[in-house]
Amino acid sequence: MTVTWPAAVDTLWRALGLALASGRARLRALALFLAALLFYALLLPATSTGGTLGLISLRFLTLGEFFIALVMAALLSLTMALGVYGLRQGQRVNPTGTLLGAVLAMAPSLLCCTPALPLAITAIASLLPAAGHFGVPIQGWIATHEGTLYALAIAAMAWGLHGSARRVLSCAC
Amino acid sequence: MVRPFIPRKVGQACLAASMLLAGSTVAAVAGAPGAACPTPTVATSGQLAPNAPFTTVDGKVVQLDAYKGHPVIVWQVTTWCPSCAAGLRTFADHQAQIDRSDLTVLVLRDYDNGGYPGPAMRDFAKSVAAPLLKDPHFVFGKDTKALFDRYNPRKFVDIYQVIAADGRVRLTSSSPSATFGKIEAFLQPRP
Repeated sequence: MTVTWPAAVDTLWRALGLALASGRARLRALALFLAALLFYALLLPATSTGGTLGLISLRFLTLGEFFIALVMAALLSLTMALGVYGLRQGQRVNPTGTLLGAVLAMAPSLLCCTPALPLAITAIASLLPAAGHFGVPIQGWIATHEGTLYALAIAAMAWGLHGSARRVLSCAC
Repeated sequence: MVRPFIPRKVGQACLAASMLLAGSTVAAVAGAPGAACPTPTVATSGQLAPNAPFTTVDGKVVQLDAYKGHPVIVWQVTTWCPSCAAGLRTFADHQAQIDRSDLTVLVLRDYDNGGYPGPAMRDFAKSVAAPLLKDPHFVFGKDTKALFDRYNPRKFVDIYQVIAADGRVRLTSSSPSATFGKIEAFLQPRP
């Protein structure tokens, strides 16, 4: 299946027109956007705090991370708005892309410099000694490919949004 | 059939009491002042800090014991880790406060840099907090396998121990960027 850019934008625009037609739906989407923005603004700089989330991580938020948080929050809230509309129309929901994006977005913050991965690897290595060698290099890879992981996360979330938009339009007949 | 002379319950009670007594005796001997207290092989909070060598960025081999009598932080980092860079910036933000204290911060690259390539320690320090390279309260270098095994057996990428002037490990934590408040408690003015 080929998706052209203008067609994808048109699909999204028309689907959002349906999903956000009511004031209540727009308000709900805005509230979700703000909550997601706060969440990502706290989560993304946690790479600098060794996974510690909260006001402490907010102190390390860079302009670039804020921009990524904006994009992710927008994608998530719009996908949710489309999903809720689709459910109300009796459509099935397929959150694979959005979920994959959400998980990828969390990987650098929660895995790169925290004790979580070494502790997990230690536990695995106690059963399977060869696995012990893979723990820290994974952290190094995550830490040095942060940008790639965020780009993949955004791409997955965008794909999820596009899929939701198509499903909304498929039942708008 | 002959009944046992001691009823079973009394026997069990005696056994439990003797085990408790033996346990408390061992605990008392272990905790007794003046009792032999060998330095543990792995850095443990409340215990004497084990000695181990590290190499400074100038190539000098130094033993941790050289800092005996003064508080010291043994901070093991990897030069690719964002929280390590943020931690070093946090130390730089508090440089004046640390300079007024008796504390020395040893910033040591993991002996194999966490198994992943990254810049050399001097380059890392230069790019993140260059003024600290000339500060005598900060010593940059890389640890040895012995130091790594004793102070970071679980292979964390960003971990530190605060060793008090009495030579005991008083705090083990990670990411000074988020936990500098704990370190501040050890920033006592120079005697």
